[in-house]
Amino acid sequence: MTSAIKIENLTKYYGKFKALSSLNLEVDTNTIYAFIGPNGAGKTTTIRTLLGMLNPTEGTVSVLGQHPTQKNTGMFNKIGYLPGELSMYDKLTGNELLKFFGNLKNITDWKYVNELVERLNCEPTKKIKTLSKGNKQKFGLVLAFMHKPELLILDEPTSGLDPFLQQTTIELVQESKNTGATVFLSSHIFSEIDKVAETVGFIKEGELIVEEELEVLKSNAVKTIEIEFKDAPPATLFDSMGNVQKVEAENNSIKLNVTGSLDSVIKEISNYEVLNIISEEPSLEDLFMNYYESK
Amino acid sequence: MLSRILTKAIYDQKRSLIYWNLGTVLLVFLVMTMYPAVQEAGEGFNDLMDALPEEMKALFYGGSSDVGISTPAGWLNIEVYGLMLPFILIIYGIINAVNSIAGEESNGTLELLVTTPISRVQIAIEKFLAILLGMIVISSLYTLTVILFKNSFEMNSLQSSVIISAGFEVFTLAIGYTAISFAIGAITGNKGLTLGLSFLITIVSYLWNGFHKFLPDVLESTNNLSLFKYYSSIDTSNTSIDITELLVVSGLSLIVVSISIAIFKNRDLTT
Repeated sequence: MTSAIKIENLTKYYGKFKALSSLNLEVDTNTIYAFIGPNGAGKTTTIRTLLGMLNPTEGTVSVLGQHPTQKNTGMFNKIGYLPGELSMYDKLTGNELLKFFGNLKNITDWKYVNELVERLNCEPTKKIKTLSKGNKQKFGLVLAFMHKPELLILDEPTSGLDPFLQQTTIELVQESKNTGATVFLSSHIFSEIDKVAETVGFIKEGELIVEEELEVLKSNAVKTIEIEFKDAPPATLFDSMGNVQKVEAENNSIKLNVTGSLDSVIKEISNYEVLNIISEEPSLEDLFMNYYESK
Repeated sequence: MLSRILTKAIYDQKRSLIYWNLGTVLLVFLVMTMYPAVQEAGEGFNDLMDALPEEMKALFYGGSSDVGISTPAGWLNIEVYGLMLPFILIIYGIINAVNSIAGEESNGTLELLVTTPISRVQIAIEKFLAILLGMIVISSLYTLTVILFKNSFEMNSLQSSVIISAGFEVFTLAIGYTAISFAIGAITGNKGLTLGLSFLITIVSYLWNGFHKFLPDVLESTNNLSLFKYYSSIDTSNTSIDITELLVVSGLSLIVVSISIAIFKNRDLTT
């Protein structure tokens, strides 16, 4: 599988402040990659470097096989970008804004643009300055998707949107992926990332602390399970299992934290009569917080 | 391709361009309507102006030898061409230069623009061209106003070629300061800094040129650095456009703008 984005040893200084430190990151073509980190961790600096707005202090960046320099501006025909802090031409109407950027992006399929406007419930006849943050965000999304890009770089795409439009945005992301696009997504809303992301990267203080497929990350993560037995099990049950930690034992119930596969636990309890098993899959937020606090 | 950013930049100037043109044309017209009365008062006004020190006269007359207030050239110089029109055009140029790159960068709108297939060089060139076009429109309209109405207000002696030449003088002067402002904006990307520095440079160089004779001998010739030194407003001895001056100032402006665009092309954006 080829890479849509490849970052090697990227370091970025703002004066003496080190915003990114030897960052290595790779996004496979036709995947949805979620880039997660708190404010100030280096997400926006990374995104702006990917788009050629910032020059690396050290390291290299490759996007769709090209370096994002002014020699390769044609690559932006294949990239859709939604900034985290969206600023648009306030004096233009939505229609004028779309026409202006549509022309710059050599749009030919205006029918698709109109479909996006309708799906996102935009108000194209109003001036941008009269719109709320959420309504401006809708136009930002149309600008990002309007030319059916091969790579979407979306910084907080659902910021300011109501739950219905958040869902529509998730659908658009999924549809783009289904038609072959790659999506690089930054968000603070874990639930929406959980729905679509295939690979996640956690960034902390300019360094990538984890990069893994979401399913693998979840399967390897600590899961909490609660087992209710018909009769009280032996007190030493699970003591010999290295990947199991007993959290709580009360009456006939035991609460465990299990790292990795549940196979050994299931085999162990098969010798006893079990009334109920409750398994809680860790949320992306739990995973993030665990990694973030441990690194 | 060229027309898109250029068209948008002209569109952005549309409303302000209308008001600047209306204001400038009205100002020039009103000053012209007063001339018959001034001419009648004649020597009284001339004596008043003659009493001013030479340096002050230079400030008001814009370096022209036509300093008699009761002559058409002298009256237009002291009222509009000496100070008002150059500053009107310079201010127009600076405001639009500040808003072009530094303004868009400070507002955050440049972020979407530079992530289209259009290069930063093309963005900058088209934005600068749009400013020049606006300045050409303003210069042309007030020059046309003077030519059209000069005979109606007893300024028949003023040749049209002299007025056109003076229009080019103002335009040439304004290009220089607009180019400096554009360059500061393209290099720094900071709107406030660009605006402040641009006006500081313009005002200091204007005053420097006017008062350089009061400076110590070693500094006296430093007014050569001020573009105002080369400005001559309406001068009845100038019946043709000073092509050399236009080319030198335009050439220097082009160099300044080109260097700034080369820096803008490769620098980090500040937003």
